[in-house]
Order: sequence, then structure tokens, then C-alpha cells
Amino acid sequence: MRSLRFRITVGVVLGQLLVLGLATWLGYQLAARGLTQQFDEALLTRARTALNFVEQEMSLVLVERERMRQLPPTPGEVAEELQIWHEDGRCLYRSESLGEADLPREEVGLGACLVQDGTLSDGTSARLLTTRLGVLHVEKPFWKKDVTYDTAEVILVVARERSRLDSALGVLLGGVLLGDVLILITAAAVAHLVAQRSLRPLDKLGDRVRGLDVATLGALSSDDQPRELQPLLDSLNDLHSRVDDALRREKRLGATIAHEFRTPISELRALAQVALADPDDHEYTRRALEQVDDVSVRLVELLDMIRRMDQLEEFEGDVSRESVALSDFVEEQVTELHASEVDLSGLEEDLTVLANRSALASIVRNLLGNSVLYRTSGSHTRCVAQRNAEVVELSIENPTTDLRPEDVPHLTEPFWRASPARDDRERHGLGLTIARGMCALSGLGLRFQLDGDCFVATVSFPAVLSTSE
Amino acid sequence: MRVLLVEDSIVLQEALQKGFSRQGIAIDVTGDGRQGLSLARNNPYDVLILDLMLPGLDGMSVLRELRNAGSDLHVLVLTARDSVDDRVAGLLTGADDYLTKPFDFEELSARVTALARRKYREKAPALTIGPLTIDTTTRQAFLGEGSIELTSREYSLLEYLAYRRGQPVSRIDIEDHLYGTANLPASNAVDRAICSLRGKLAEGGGRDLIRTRRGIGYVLDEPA
Repeated sequence: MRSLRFRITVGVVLGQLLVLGLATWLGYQLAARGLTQQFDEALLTRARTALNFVEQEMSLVLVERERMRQLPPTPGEVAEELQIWHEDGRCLYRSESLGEADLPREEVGLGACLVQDGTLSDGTSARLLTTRLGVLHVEKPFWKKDVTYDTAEVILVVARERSRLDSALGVLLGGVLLGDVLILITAAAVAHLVAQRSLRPLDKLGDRVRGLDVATLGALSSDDQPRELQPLLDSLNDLHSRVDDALRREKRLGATIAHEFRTPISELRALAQVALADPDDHEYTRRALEQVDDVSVRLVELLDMIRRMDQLEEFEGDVSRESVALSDFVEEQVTELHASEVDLSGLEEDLTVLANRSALASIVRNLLGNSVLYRTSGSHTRCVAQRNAEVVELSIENPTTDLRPEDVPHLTEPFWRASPARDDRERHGLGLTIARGMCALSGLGLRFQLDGDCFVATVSFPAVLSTSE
Repeated sequence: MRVLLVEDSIVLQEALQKGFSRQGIAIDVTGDGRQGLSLARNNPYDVLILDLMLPGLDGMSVLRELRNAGSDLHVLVLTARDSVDDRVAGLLTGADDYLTKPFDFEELSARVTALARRKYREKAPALTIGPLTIDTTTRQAFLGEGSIELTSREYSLLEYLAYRRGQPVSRIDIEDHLYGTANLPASNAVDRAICSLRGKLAEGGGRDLIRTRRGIGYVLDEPA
């Protein structure tokens, strides 16, 4: 797992690198262009100066070599070569260092300049400026009549060693790059420090969370915590709240299960102790053993219910569905339960739902069983199945006076009973819990409502097929 | 001693009825809260053993209604609810004792006996009347140094008379405390039991311990 600090540091350095790289490239390009332009301007000045030494005589344009020697030296004795051509192609002048060689001559327009990279005659890298300039000259001596002036054009190429320019550019580039590296190192160090400092509250929060156990489980305070950690704190506190609820539920369930086991265990102990107190009372001993067997069966049933409830989640994903004709199915369950006084006239025909048959049987039997047991004396349980939009709903209704509206949310809690007066000794109080779990696993909805004194349990089936479809 | 057990577990009802009956304790049982309340109001029980989760009317309501009606019946709450809150609520509502399930029958029996003693304001487990000593813990009677062999019913009769020593106890009173509503005795059952008990006491030298008050009943007291 990569460190967050490392990620922040690398991110900052990469960002810095990108910005610096762009800035360096741009800066260098601008600086290099400026230096080169200066260099080229010096070349142009040199060319113009050299033009002053072009002689103009009658019908002649020439360059005196001796006069050309009067050209001021280049600053720093930089190697330089110069060549001048007449427009007719005659070479008017060439630097001695050229010998018989020519500098490269490019075609340029009058007054135009072309600057390019090239080499001196000795192969040294150089900057070459080519320009074409006009000079005035007369056809005959100016004191004669009808003197006419004419113009001639000369092509001038100045080549100057560029090692200094290159060296300056190199120094510039090196300096900038060195600066960049220093900036990057500093930025990385600062980013690391800032990340470390900024993430310290996260470490502290981690320590606090790590230090929590069941005994010290409590909401985390947002005091002294940066605003950015508030969502995390909120999430942790929300998680804590859910864990706390789950622990409470588990604790309550554990206590309730223990409670449910107390009576059968009392029965077993009382039977054993009373039987052992008078072993000669064979009749009672036999009867006690029969009762021990009955109690054991009840205990096993209770254990099975608890195990089924506990294992509900393990079956998740194994719920296969098939088409079930709802009204026929409900009728079958009523018949198998031997439930009397159940009104099935509200079941619409031709309603087919997708459900797991055994899970649905468990759900419907639980709901029917409760309805029959808890309905008011002399009343009926009514089953209604109908299609609403894309949902089929099966409702099992019964009048009751035992429930209050505030009891409804507790109905699926394990072992919950509405009345402290226990009228349902043979029931464990787990049926609706299991029905709820079965519904959740089967993708069915289950809701309860109390309309006045009518209790309604409704199972909703999301996927609907009709037999005609 | 006469006890009412209000417990909805048929198995417990039967086992406790058997156990207490063997000890000569008259016991009535019911599994319904309302019926239990009615029985407790209308019969002279020494102790009521009361479960809390009952059909009809829950145990706390039974207890509350008894106390509201001014009953001083000694009540032992026998329940699966074991939390401190439940115990406190039970005792504050008027229970004299609280025993959680699962329990030991001997402990239940001892607590019931202790509650019965409290009813007759006896603190010591041994009752002494002249040469007669009754150990309510072991349910044995002694005359001087020698023990008397008594049936459980004879012991119960002797214990009941001893609790009310010096006071005349009517036949009906004895019937009520010796026999539960389910076991109606023969019309001369009390006389026969008294006769049998007198005979055994006389054998041990306690001839004049039980005297007859004509038209009133029987008195157990030190010989004059």
C-alpha cells in the first residue's frame, strides 16, 4: 500500500516538474531568441559597416583590401569571415582566411537579410548573415556633362563564429536547469513536510480509532479536527452507531434467547429433581421421562428456529425462483395449516409471481398462522391478492385488539411479544423474524400496518407475470 | 401449608405439584393469570408462587391487583426474567421473594417454607412447644430426644397447628390448609388425621399437646 504522503509528495513534484519544464522551455526559448537576435543584429551592423568600404567609381564597384583592413576588430577577437559579391557574380572581396573558398551565398532580395547557421572555412560552427544592398555609382567622371548615376547591388555575407553564443546559451540552459532541480528538491521537501503535517490529524484519528474496543466504543468528537476530516468522522460515527445498534441487538437477542431457554430448562430440572426425590414412584418417573422427551423436542424446535434465523444470510444468493400461481398457492397453504375461517375471496385469479416456492410457503404460513392466532374471537382472516401497476401484493388481514400502532415496528424483532400476558406459549416469537429474512432473501417486500383495529401484513412481489403473458 | 402456583407451563405445574404434595404441602395450580388472581383472592393460601408471563393477565398485574386489594399474601415470583430491573420491579410491586428460572426445587421449597414462617412471624426454623420440637427445614418432629415418624400430611398438620400454637384452629381452617381445592377430603378426614397425630405424639410422651375445644377446633400448646 502506497503512503499518502508519498503520493502527495510525488504529485506535487510531478506538478512542479511539469510547470517548471514548461516555464524553462519557454524562458530558454525566449532568452535564446533574444541572444541570437542580439548576435544577428551585431552581424547586420558588421555588414553595414563593411558596406562603407565598398568603393564607388565610374562604372566600377570595388573593395580595397587595404581599406577593408580598417574594419574595427570583432569584440573578443571572435573569428569572422566576410565575402562581398557584385550582383553580376564577381567576387569583390573575401577575407584572407577564406583563401579561394567561398562562403555560402543565398539569394536574397534587395535590402533583405537572411541569417542562418553554418560554418566558417575551418569548419567552426558559425552564424551567417547574407544581405543584398545597393550602391550608387556614375557611368563617367562627375565633372563631365550629362553625368548619370546608376545603382549597383552587392551581396554581402558575414560569417561569425558562434561559440560564444552557444556558450552563453549553454550557461543559460544549465543555470535554468540547475535552478529547476533546486526548486524541485525544495518543493519535494516542502511538500513532504506539509503532507506530513497536514496528515498528522489523520494519524491521530487512526490512533483513536485503533484504541477503540467494545468497552470504549463511543462517538468520536470532532473537536480539534480539521474541517476536511469531518466527513470521515461523520462516516465513522455513523458506522459506530450502526455497530452499536448491531451489538445492542445481538446482546438483546442473546438475553432473549437465554430467557426463552430458562423455562424449558426449569421444566427439565424440576422433572428430574422431583423424580429423583422418590425413585420408587415408578409411575411418576415414567410420566416425568415422557415429559422430558416432550420438552426436549420443544427445545430442539426452538434451536432449529434460532439456527434458521441465524443461517438466513448464508442462503443469500441460493434463492432460485419459479412461477407460482398465487391464489392456488395460498389456498394450498391454508389447507395444509388446517386454518379455519380464512376468507380467500379476495384472491384475484390468474396472478402469477416469481418466487422461491419453499421460502414463500414459509412466509405465507407464518403470516397466516399469526393472523389466525391473534385475530379477535369470532372474526375471519382475509387474504387479498391483487396487481397494482407492476407489483403484485398479497395481503393477509385480521381484526385484532392486541396490537397498538407503536407495536408494529417491533413485530419482526426476535422473541418480541405484544402482551406481557403470554397467551401464545407454544410459539417462540421468531416466525415473523424469519419471514422478514426470507422476504429479504427472496427479493420480496414485507410490510405491516394497523388500520384501526385491522392488522394487515402485505407481501409484495416485484416481478410479475400473468398466465396470459 | 397451602400454596397456590400460577404457572403456565403444564410440565412445571405437574412437577411442582408432585414435589410439594410429597412434602405434604397442599398446592393448587392454574396456568391463567385471571384465574390465579381469583383463587388467591378467595382462598387462604400461605404462599403464592407466581410466574410473570401468563396468559389472561400477566403476573405483575396479578401482583399489583392483589396488593391494591390489600392482600398480605406472601408472594414468590418465579420467572425467567433475570435482569436486575425485572427483580426490582417485581419486589417494588409487592413480591416478597424473587426466584429466577431455572431453579432448584429444594431452593424453591425452602423459600416457600421461609415465606410461610414469615406469615406466622416465626424467624427460627425450629418451632418448640414444650417437649415438642419441629424442624421446618428437615420437616421432622421430635419429642424430647426422640423423633416422631410422621406422614407428610401429619407433619403438615402438626406444623400448621404449631404455627398457630395456643390458638384454636377450626376443622375448616385445617382442611383449607391441608388439602388443595383439587383434593377434597372426606368429611372426617381432619378428625382422623388429628387422631392419628395424637396417637403418635402420645407414644412419644406428648399426650396432652393437642387439645380439643368443643365446637371451636383444636389447640396445640404446652401441657398444663
